[in-house]
Formats: sequence, C-alpha cells, structure tokens
Amino acid sequence: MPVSINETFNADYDSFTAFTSKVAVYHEEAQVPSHLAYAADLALEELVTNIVKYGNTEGNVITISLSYDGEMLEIKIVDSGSEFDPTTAQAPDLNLPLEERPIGQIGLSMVRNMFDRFEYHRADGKNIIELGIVNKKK
Amino acid sequence: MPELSIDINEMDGGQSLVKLGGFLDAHTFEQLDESIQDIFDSGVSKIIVDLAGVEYISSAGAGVFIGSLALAQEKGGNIVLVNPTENVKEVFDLLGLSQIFTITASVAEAQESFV
Repeated sequence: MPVSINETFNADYDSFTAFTSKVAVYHEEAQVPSHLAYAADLALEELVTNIVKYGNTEGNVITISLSYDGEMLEIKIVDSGSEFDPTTAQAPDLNLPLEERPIGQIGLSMVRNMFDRFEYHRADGKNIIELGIVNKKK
Repeated sequence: MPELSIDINEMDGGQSLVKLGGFLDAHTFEQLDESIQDIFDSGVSKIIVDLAGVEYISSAGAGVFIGSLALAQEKGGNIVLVNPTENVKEVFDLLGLSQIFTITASVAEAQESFV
C-alpha cells in the first residue's frame, strides 16, 4: 500500500503555501528520492498556480493526493474551477525567441516533458489532473 | 515558508555578482526581479548569478533570467549563470535555458567570459 498524503484547501496562494510545507514533510517521511520530490514540487507549483490564477470560480477548492510506493510517484489534483485542460494547453511557439514565450506555457511544457503520465479529464464539474513519474534512478 | 536569499557584490570590470540561496519560485521571484532591476539602474549590465545555493527553481523563477537577458545584452552586458545543482540544471535544460545562457562552473570562469 503506497504511503500517501491527501489534502483539501482553498484555491489561494496562502493555502497552497501551507500545503507545500506538508508536502515537504511527506517527502521526508515517505523517503521520496530528491529528483522525484523536485519534480513533484515543480508540477504542483506550475499546475496549482494556474488554478489559483485562472480558476475563476468563487469558493474553488483544490484537493491534492500524492503517493510514492518506491517505484512511482503519483499526483492527483482536483478542483472545481473553470474547465481547463493543461495537457492540451498550447505548446510554446518554438519559433519565438525564448524571452517572448509566455512563462505559463513554458512551465506546463516542462511538466509534460518531466512526467511519464500527464492526463486530464473533467467529471462532475471538476478538473481532474493525474500525473505519474517512475523512479528511473534506482 | 521557503525563502530566497540574495547577496549582491560589485566586482571589478563593471560586473555584479548575485549570490542566490534557497527557493526561487512563484513566491520569491519578484525579490530577484527587483534586485536585478536595481543593478541595471546602477548602470551595471554584466551580471554573474551564482546558483550553487539554489535548492529549487520553477518556471516563475527562471522567467526572471529570461526577462532580464535581452535587456542586459542590449546594454552591452550579459547574464551568466554559475554552478547550478543537478536538479536546477535539469529545469534549465527542460526550459531551453541551457541553449541561450552562458553557464559556467565557477565565478572566475564567468568573469573571464566577459573579457
């Protein structure tokens, strides 16, 4: 049974910051390898920042579960904000100079490249994002 | 809350050394943005950023370097990144920064790149 964390918080930066402190403790307790912990922190920041900025729904809450079983780290992010599929968000225009590419697009593109699984679906009026990354450095 | 430390020193040859430590993310990137703006305002455009102490960087943090690079080069300078950790270097690779920034293993090497 994978060790896991599961938390629900309001879709604002302060609540997310409080949540990230718990994730840091979880990384230690679950002995998540540092490169996977780094990837998880990055994905959470890129995706939750998007939800907080563009979720546009009053009272939006975010539920995040994170688990690591020694082989794979998995993240599930559920929110009730506006419909948005980050997996199909427009990829950065590679013909543009890097400094002219929107940072948000670059961040999502980085998550896409980093994770082995990055999936989205919408159900019951909620955005559901699922990510997985295999521990390849064992 | 994870924090960012910024230590700025003027160096010979009109260069500034910005030594960073901690977390460069959506919560802290504005501090660095302001510090780099202050350096530009003081007339310096050759900026060396020592990243050895940076534990974490996200796209928001990297965006500060991306946003400042063109301005530095317009003023005849550059932004040279020094000694990123393995995790930070991976982010640079994924963001394409490794292709557009000069990245060196030491501050001395970064100083030489301006000559």
